[in-house]
Amino acid sequence: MDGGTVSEPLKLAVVEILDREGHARQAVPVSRWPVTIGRAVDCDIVLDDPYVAAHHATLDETGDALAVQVGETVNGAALSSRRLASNERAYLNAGDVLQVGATRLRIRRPADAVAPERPFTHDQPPPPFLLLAALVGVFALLNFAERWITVDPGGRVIDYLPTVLGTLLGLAVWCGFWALGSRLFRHRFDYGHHLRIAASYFVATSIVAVALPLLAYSLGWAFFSRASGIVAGAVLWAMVFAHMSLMLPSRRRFLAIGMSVLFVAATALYLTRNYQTNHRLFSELYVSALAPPVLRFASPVPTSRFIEDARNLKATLDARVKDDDSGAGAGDDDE
Amino acid sequence: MTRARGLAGAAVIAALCAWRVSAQAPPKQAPPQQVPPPQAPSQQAPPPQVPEDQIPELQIPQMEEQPQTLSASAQRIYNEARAELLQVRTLLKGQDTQASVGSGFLVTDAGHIITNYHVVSQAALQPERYRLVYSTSSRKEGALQILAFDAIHDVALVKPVDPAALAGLTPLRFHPKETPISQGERIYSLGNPLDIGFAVIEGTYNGMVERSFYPTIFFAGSLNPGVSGGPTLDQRGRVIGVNVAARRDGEQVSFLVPSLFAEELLERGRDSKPITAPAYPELTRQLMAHQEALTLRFLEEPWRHASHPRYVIPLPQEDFMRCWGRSTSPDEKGMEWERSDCMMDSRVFVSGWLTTGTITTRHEAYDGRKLGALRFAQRYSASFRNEQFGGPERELTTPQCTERYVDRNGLPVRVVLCMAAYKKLVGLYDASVLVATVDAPRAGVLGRFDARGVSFDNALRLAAHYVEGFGWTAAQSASH
Repeated sequence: MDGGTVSEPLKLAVVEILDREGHARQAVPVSRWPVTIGRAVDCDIVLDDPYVAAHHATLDETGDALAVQVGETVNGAALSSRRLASNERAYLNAGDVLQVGATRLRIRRPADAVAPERPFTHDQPPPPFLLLAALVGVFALLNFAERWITVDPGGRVIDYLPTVLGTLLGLAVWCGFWALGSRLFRHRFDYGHHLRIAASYFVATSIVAVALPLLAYSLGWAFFSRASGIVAGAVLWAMVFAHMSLMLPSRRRFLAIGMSVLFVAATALYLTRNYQTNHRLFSELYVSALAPPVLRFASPVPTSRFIEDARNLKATLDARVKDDDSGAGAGDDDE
Repeated sequence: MTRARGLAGAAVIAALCAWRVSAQAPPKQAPPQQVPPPQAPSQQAPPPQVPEDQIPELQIPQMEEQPQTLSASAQRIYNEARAELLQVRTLLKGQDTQASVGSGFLVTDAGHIITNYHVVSQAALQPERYRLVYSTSSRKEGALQILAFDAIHDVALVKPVDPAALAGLTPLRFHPKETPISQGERIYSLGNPLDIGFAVIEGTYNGMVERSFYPTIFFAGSLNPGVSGGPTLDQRGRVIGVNVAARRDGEQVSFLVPSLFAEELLERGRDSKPITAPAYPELTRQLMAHQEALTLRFLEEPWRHASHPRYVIPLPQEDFMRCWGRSTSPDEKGMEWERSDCMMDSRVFVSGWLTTGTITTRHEAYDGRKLGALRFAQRYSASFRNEQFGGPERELTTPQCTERYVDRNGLPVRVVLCMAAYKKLVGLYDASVLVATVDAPRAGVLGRFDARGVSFDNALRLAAHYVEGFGWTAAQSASH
């Protein structure tokens, strides 16, 4: 160690006082052992913490080992997760956090390994204003359209304003909550990014909810309509995931796994419950979307063909009657 | 299924409310209610307890004003028949409290008693939970057993376990088939209304109910819950019918099962062994025969056609069905529609929570010229979506559907067929067909056809018949 000069005392260690997030708020250089910690002014490290005794603890190096000796104190101390009572002594490992009162300390010595340098990621600049404006515009337009289609011709502005303004306000509040979350965890408000996420996913949800039933109408493939609810749900779920990973980028992987598992579990539960109560996977009985004829591509069949197909219902229904019979029998046995 | 189903949009709902309160409203097309047996006291307010000393005060002035002859014949009829009149009570086994009550009457020296099937249905279907007892006006009581029933016409034949208890009574005779009764003739309904006491109700014979699938006598008199199964007698005290049902939406509009069906049941079942097991197999057999007859008759009749410029829309003949129509007001700003509801007056009572054996059709013709294609599609879809299926879960499986585009001589229609199977009436199904025309951007017809309690094959035959009823009008076909 040749970093010190003659005029400066040799730096034997650094005691870091940590804040709530675990970042060093203050670093106190150590030029001699032992180091006393407490509220008394004669301590080497004076802490302004009402839960700390006058002479709370002493750090001392014997050979290579660093030890802490707890003094006369009501609250004791804690070394990582291990509690230390009054007058107890313990050895510190590199990276251990020592808690005295409400204050957490980390002691670093020259021999301790330093975590490798991490590549610096620049803060994402907020999304361009034009993009945000366009997204919010599309969002408002979709809500307007949803309202427009239900209002009879000759509607007045007052018929639309509450819906359009209400949904915009809802979007603003929704993003506000996520931005507060970002502020809490990342010290950045990030409203623009949350707005980009929310507006684009809400737009996507609306499109899915309209397009899938239309596709079912168009091609005569009922599955599109049956599944539209779940797909729209998945899009909303993905939106929550996007908000959360913006808020906690370091937990992205964990969130992705957790959210996927939750979604799969919820979907499985929904389908199972449907199957048990209705003997169908989806609650929808038939495709109810009827669109203008230009959108229909599926070709109609003769009545006889439809009736032939319908014969398959018999086996399903009769099986249900049988199931119910045996189900009732089993129920009786259980009682 | 409520009558307010399948309505599109707030405008339609508003129209319905107006229809309900409007002074020019057509009579509500509720089918006649089987006069239900009075239920347990928890479900129904107990009959008002009138202190006995007040009754004469109420009645004496009336009796003084009435001509003597009117009440004299009722009095004579009642006196002659009261001994043969019985109350039929369904008791919950175990606690011996009454679950429901009806009436009945003695028809043979051997103790055979006629009542309604719906009076004894609980005991017939759940003999492990319910038993039947009778009590006479002279307060004799005893256990009853069911010998036979005819659920389609709603009559049942029962007999005391100990017929000797009723020995010495003169059974009621049936009105001879050859002698017609004339409309307006005074007839007398006997029974025990609301479990208050045996009573005679005077009314008039009004011939047979029009458009009834099975013959039913129209009795202008009041039938109350509890008189079900009691006899209605002519001036000479002969049975012309069995009290069965009343319309709740009218006054003094009541129905009797013609005595013929009671006689037939008596002939068929007088020597039968008592029914001790749940009667579902026999009930199923009867409902099978009913649906066969109903389907055959329905398919024999060609469709009438609603007058629509673009579409041929099937409407049933009104032989045993009745159609009601209504439409939007002429100044409607949005979707304009015309609607027709066709239904049968009668249905087969199976149990307190299930009636079946009916056909209904309905259509709504929409005109969205004032709306434009997108708005029309939204309302048209919403109306198509607003349909209910299924029935009580313990009686029917959940519905299963199949759907497809079907070609009707050039007219493309979306067809949905949903069916549910009866759990205890094995082999019977409910079928609902939805038809939506999909050929025009601003007009369309939604049709619905329901058949309740039919065999699978008949359900498909009826469904095909209904779908085949749709098409383009000649003028419209020519333009394509």
